Amino acid sequence: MDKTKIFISSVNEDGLHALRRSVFRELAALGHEPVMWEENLGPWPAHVDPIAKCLQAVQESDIYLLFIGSKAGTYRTEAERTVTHMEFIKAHEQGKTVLVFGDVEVKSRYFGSAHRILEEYVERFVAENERFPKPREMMDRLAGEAGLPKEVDPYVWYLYYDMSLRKVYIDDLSLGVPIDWKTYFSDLLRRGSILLPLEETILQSGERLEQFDDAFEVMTKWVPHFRIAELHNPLAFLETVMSRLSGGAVEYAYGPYMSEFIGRYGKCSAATLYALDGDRMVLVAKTGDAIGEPHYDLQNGDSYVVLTYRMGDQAEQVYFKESRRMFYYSIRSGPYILTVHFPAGPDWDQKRFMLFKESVNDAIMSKNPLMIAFIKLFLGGIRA
Amino acid sequence: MSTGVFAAKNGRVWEAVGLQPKEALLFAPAKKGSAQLLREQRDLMKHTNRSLKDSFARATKR
Repeated sequence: MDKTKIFISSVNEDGLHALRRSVFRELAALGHEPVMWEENLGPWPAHVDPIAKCLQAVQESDIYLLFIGSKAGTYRTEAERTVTHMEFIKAHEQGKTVLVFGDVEVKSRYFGSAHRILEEYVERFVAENERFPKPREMMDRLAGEAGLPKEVDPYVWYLYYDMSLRKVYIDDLSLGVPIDWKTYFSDLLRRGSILLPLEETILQSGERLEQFDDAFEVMTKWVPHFRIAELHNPLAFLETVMSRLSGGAVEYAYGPYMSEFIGRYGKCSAATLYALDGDRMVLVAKTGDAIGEPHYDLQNGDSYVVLTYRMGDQAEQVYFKESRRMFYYSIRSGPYILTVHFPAGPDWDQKRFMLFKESVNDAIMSKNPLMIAFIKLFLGGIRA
Repeated sequence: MSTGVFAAKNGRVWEAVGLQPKEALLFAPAKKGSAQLLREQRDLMKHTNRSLKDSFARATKR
């Protein structure tokens, strides 16, 4: 039977040496297979890159166990990360079970002050530079922070910050107080035991999801072969659309795990449908609190209806109007323009929209793109 | 420098640089449309399903 392979990771600092040795021995005594650099991993053979070897060992492990003290370890300029951090990232991205223990004093200072300092710094930095700060820039900022203990390397705060972005739980580590590994791993077994019997159910749900996905694929191929006679109840159509579009958060993403909350938008408050009639767009139906002018001349470049129509068939565009504090998402399919309205949260103004335009577009368009695909399919299939 | 944002008001459309009238309609062409976003979500769903199958296979292997 396979044993559980546990990669033990930490910075090579004095306070953690004894802990590493005792954990290795205890885990081996419990019947697991611990892997640790100074015991059974390195530094042989001499020609092998030690970092690559560690990362390979992380990949081959079932559990990644990390202890964080107050030292950062070796910083690799080319990766802009420390070796320990690279191991953690590898484990997290490989979907390993990640167990992290942080020195209780350092952890408390991080969540008590460093986290807020970093969040405020990142927000200001992004607003001024339109990019996420590099680790070195964050460390420079923290190095000069009078409120943080000097004995803690600034990179440690950055490591904590990355872990909090990835929503990794950090257990308390009190040096000198032994960790009850029997109980700890018994709890881990309990958690796994709850999930393992769900295998059949989870896999079946996945199969159903793929069937629905396939049905969508088939529908997108069929519908263009039909001509729909008419949209005989456009109001019901709009009400269904409106009820399916909830509000949400706009986030600025820096990568797969790093994102920052920018602002909110409320649930869809109105929807309108216009159709081309001669040289103007005529209101077909409206619902919610839309004003819904009876028509717009195609020369009227003030209207999102006309602007989107002019962009061409299948175009779509998100708009923002500060005076109404509203986002509008307009979609064109053939002669139709469907627009849904989302109230903007109180923080939104022109400057914020201009700065985070991509995030706004992404937040609103990615909310329910399946329904947008259906809207385009069906409106495009109506006989002219 | 291009802001990538446009403003529309009184029948005119211009590139928005600096403060704009509050009544102006602001918009920025999206890098990804809903079709692309849907493709990505569907690909992610399939990837997640494969990953679940692999993980369960490894977890229940004897």
